[in-house]
Amino acid sequence: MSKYILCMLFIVAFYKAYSQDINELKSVLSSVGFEQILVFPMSANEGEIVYRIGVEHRGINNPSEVLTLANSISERLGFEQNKFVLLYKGQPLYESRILDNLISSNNLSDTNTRDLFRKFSLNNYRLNVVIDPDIQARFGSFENPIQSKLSLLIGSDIMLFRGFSLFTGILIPIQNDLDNESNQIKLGPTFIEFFSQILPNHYTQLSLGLFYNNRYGIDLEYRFFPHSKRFSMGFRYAKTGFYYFPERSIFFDSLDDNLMLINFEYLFLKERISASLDFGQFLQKDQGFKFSLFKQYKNIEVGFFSTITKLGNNSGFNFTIPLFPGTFIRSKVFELRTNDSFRWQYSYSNEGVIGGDFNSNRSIKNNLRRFNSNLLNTY
Amino acid sequence: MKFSIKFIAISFVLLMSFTGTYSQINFLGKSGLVRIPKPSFIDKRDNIQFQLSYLPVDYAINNFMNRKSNEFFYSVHLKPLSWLSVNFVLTRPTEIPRIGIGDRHLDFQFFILDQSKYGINLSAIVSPALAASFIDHNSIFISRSIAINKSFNIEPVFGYGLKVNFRKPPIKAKFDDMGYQWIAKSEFGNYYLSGFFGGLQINVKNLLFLSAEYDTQYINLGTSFTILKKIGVQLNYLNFNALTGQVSYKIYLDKSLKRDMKLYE
Repeated sequence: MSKYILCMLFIVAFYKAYSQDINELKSVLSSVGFEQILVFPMSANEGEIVYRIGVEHRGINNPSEVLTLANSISERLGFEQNKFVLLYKGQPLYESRILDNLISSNNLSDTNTRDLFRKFSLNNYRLNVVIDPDIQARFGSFENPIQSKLSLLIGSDIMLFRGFSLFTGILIPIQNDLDNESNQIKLGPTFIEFFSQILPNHYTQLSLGLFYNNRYGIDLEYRFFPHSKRFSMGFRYAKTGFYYFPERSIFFDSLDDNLMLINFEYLFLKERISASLDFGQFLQKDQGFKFSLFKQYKNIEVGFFSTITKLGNNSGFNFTIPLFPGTFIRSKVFELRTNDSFRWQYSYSNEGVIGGDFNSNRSIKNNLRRFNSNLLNTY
Repeated sequence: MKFSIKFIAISFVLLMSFTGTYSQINFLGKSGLVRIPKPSFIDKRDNIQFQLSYLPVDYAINNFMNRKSNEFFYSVHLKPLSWLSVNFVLTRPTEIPRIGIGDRHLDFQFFILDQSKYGINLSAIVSPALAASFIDHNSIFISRSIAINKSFNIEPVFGYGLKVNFRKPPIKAKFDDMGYQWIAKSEFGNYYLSGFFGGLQINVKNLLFLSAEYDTQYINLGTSFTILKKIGVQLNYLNFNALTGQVSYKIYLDKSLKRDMKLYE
């Protein structure tokens, strides 16, 4: 009998120690901004337990850094040889392992995916409030060379269930001599967004609501994105209309603008440059081509583009940068930070909109690009 | 007088103690001497570089509406590939009421040959014919860095800039054909890098640079150094006549900009 009790005690003690370690790992990961930390013991490897850990970090825009940060923390706490599963809006993308500073990745098996789904919980997310300046500018008017519209968007992606979020926020106007939109505090972009991986390497995103760039309607995007290959492709269909806020009201133009674009993209790995071709119908029934090159740096993406459409030619550049200073407040349930991927575009021509686009900072074409697993070892 | 020399000497020593690796850049924000470019690069790390430089009216380049003025050049320089750099320049004459925020200029520099492999550096600049014509230049140039001793390097630069540009004629000019064609740059009042140019740069431990050059119009002198590890300062003496300067700032793109990463690195 005493043998049994001893054995039981041992198991309880072992279990307690084990769960304490896991809890410590979770709390340390959480303190540096990780969310949705899902820990699974995998098969024991030579007496050591190895874990599969699902992680999501919305404040770091480089998945390579997310993985190395998670790995260095777990190694420091004595968890070695773990596999990490990168999550995007709670949806697993692929699993990676770091050995000798080299990140290797493969697809997640169905059972493992289901395990992750089972552990997923909305309580693992913080309320992530993001401060994001909205800068629109037009250069070259005779009377007023720099016409600009500056606002501050304080918004949040509120997760409703796995892959499904509501983005909403308030827009605080600071300065405007660009258009006649009212100078009151108003509703920022507000839309629901559903992201999912329908089959391995096939992703879709459906959004509905009031988008960025004063567009409202529905936006559907599909992308074939094999994370270990260099080629990816996708299409996007959106039916939208124009909206804006005059004094104390909201104005909706009719919902009849179809955007239909097909995209092919190829990654030149050594240079970390993606060559991207969009063709089809842009906003305002403008048909044509847009060719872009995107170069990935550690936290910055720089792009050059050139557009040839029915309405004319245009070219320019865009960049995606993390904004200074980053996180202001972070607790277990709340985080206030500046945008980790602020996107801005400059076009050479300012004569109307050529090759018009909207919500480009939300599109999976732009957001999945960094998740190519070939890129992870090249920074 | 004595005091000012002392002051200059002390501040120079102070400045030198703050310096980091840098390379001299010309007034357009490209690797170069004072006004001429050079085909070599010292800083191999990925970076984006911003520069503000100043030219007084006598040496101004922008001749918008046939008037010149003291002018500022704002430039952004990025080298996305080992063999290509992109430079974007905005010029703002200070005293001319004008349309727009200034004239924009874009050029590409191709790094064709590298000294470590071929014994010389060879590079070419191509300006696509966009709106601003006064600064367009297409040129090809060579250099070779020669080590005198451990701390001194001397680099002669020699090149040729085309006297013509491939573009549309000016709107008011009388041309039979108004399409794209080779037109003398002087038609646009553009005398920048037209013909043979050359110069000599002395590099002291990659910290201090001293340059002398002939830029097809004038003979210029320049010196540059770095303060606070990130800010490049350059002082130039154009045509033994006018003192000008430029300030540049670099952001390195190969290190993490995220605070969470810095905590655990």
